Amino acid sequence: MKTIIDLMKYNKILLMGTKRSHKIFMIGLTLFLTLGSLLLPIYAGFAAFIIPIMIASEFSTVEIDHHGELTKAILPVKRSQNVAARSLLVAGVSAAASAVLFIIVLISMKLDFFRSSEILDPMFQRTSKETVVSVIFSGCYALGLGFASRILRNYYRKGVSRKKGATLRNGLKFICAYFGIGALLYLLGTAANFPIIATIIMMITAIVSALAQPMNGLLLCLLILLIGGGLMTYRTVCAMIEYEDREL
Amino acid sequence: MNKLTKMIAAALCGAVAAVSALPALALAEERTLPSGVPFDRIEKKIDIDLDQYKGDLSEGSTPGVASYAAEIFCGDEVLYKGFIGYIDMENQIPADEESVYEWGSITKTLIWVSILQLWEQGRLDLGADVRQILPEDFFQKLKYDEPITVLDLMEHKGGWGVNTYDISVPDGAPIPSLEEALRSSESPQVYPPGEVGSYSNWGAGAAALTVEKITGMDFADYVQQNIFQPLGMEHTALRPDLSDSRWVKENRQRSQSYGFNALSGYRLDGPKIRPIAVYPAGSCTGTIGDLTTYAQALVSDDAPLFQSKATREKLFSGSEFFGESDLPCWSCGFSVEQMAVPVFGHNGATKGFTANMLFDPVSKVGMVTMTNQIENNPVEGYFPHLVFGAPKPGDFGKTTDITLKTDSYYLPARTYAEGPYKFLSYLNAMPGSEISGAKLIGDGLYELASETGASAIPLGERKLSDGRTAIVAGGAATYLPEKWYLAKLSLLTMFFLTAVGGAFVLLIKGKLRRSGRSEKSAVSAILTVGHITRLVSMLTLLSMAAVILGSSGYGIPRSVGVCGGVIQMICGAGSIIAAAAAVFGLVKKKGWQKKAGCAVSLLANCTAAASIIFFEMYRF
Repeated sequence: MKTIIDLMKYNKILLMGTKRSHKIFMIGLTLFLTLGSLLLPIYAGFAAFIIPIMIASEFSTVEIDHHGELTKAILPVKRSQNVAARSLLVAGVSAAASAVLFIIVLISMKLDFFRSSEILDPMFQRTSKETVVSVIFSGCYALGLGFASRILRNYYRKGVSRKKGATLRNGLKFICAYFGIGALLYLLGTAANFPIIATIIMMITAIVSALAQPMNGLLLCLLILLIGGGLMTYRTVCAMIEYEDREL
Repeated sequence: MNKLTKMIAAALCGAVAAVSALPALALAEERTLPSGVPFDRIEKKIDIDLDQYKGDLSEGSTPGVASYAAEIFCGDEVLYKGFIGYIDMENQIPADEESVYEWGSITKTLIWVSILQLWEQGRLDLGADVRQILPEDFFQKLKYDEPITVLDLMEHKGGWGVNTYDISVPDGAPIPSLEEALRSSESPQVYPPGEVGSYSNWGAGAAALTVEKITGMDFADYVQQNIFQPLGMEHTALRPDLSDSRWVKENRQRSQSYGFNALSGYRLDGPKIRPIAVYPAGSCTGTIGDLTTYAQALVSDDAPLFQSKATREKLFSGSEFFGESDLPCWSCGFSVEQMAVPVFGHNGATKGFTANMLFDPVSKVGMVTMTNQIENNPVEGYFPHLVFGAPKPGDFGKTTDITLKTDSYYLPARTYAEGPYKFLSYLNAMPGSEISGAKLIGDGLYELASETGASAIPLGERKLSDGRTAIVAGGAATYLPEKWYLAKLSLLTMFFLTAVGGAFVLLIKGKLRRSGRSEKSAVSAILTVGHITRLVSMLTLLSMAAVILGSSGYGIPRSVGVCGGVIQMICGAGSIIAAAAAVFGLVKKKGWQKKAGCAVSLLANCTAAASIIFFEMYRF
């Protein structure tokens, strides 16, 4: 355990070596989204989604700059410990950041800061604002964890990408994926004009709504977070095995 | 002179008569709805208020209503008649007087009127035990020995939970008789009769069957002869296949029903007609004009549906009250809404239509609305408030400083209290804190004011035979305190979490196996079976829940219930075996990590087995 904690410290030091321009971008985006969270819960959801992805993808960028991968090769630790430490750091930092963001969201809800939103307002008519916001927030965080774990797994399986602008491309990919999901939801809504799809959507909506009822959505949030955490754990185990089997 | 005197006298008399008539004229001008809206401004107000819903609905940008038909009346006089939108958007068929809509549960009021007709004829005692009237082997799922009276059926106090099994007729299947339909979809009796108001379609069907047994007539024939024909309701049909009116059946084919959501706008909502086998519970279909005629007959002083005006008075005298007060919440099968004035009636919904019928028997003002849209329907709440207004704090009596003593959590009585859907009731609990601000008026009657103080609702307290205190929030809307609710909800939560967790353990085990790192032992194999059974159990439960939640309360086919029950039994047995293997592993395996894994497996499998047993997932 001590080794893992030491490795987490090492990873933290590595992360501090991020380029200034990247630091400014990450801090700027976080600040923008945090301020946005005061007015619209969607911003908080986007922040909870993007923060784990930003941290996970930044590791590969930093390691290109500082040859971190070589450093790891000479450290007297097991490869699996390396993977576990980085995954824990990503999950831990993003959980702490998301917790802070969620508190901001709760405060803004208490103070009625929220602006109306065409997408969210119809949902508020059916269930409480707290439930909708909590479920969306935990869903975004779980999705972010899922993507971050995928980045980490790919990194340990294939190594660092040395192509220029890889981070930017990755970032763009994830932003595209984020909006892609939005578009998919919209298409699903349109597909609801077909009776069979409408019935399936109605059934899924009904069961999700039922699970969201108790304790302001706590049961559904726990389930969503468990899915995100489970995905992270599964991919971390996969990364451990694949990294140990990989020829460096 | 004499002539002049006569002229002056005549002029004076005319002037006096004119002056004395002025207040009467003024009064006539001031005739208003119970909400305070003057009669002559109804149409203009509706036009302004509902203008936003008259746009191009097909684009889906307006959260309006596919179509509605509405009438407001005062006695025999129709004050407003309006139609908006299309009964078939695709073919642009606008709603009009010939459009037919489904009544939904308003149909049940035909049962209650029939029963009162038989009661006034001395053919049926409201206190009679229906077990003595219906065939001896009719009730198969009774839990209590207490008699079930006719009045219990009218008040939805027969003790039945929500029906699990399908009360509709599958596509193309022959339509069974009412008795056959009831026998094949019997709900379990979960409350002592006469104690708890729990709205039941099945119980209403049993009441209609009682009418059949007393009269020796088919219920649809009885209604046709004793309600529809006397009132001249030629454009209304009751049978599930609408075979009692060719006109209605043909016009019903012109109607479509729609759902609405903010993303896609309007969408067609499945097949055109879905026959309901327990048809007296909600199968009636007809025009707005006929429903208005029926509602007007109910408020009429002439009481055309009854032989005696006393029967009409009985109908509106209240049979169920808030606490021990005289404020009614239910009256011989009719709901009593406490608005600015007490309003009687019923609302209804089928899989594609919604309808509402409300009237004030004192002022004789009433309204009926019908729509072919089942979701996000703004008209549903608009008309009742337009006509009857909202109750204000103080309307039910003077409040004291004593507040309602509440338990932690309440479950709605109208729920799946037994069987595979028992878990759903735990997802719909009402925290006691939501109603703890209600203030006592007297005799178990409380008033709960809204946060803004602009409106209020009454609540009643009722002691049950098991010592619990139930909360009555309206007719057949009773909430029962649930002990250890959070513990039970935690068990359910753990069931879901361990099942989802098990899915990831299976994925990890698969990865380890493929990389040649997995442990090969009997215990490990059995624990894997445990992970699979938990996952299968959860997926089965959610699939079945999705089916019933999507059925709009019509229930599930028996085959689905049997499959689900058998799968849960197998999963329960698998979980118990896996738990035993985990105990074995806990004792035999070495190393804290393996022991911890076995301990977690033991906990997960015990949770799954306990959940399957406690939430009765195995029952069908």
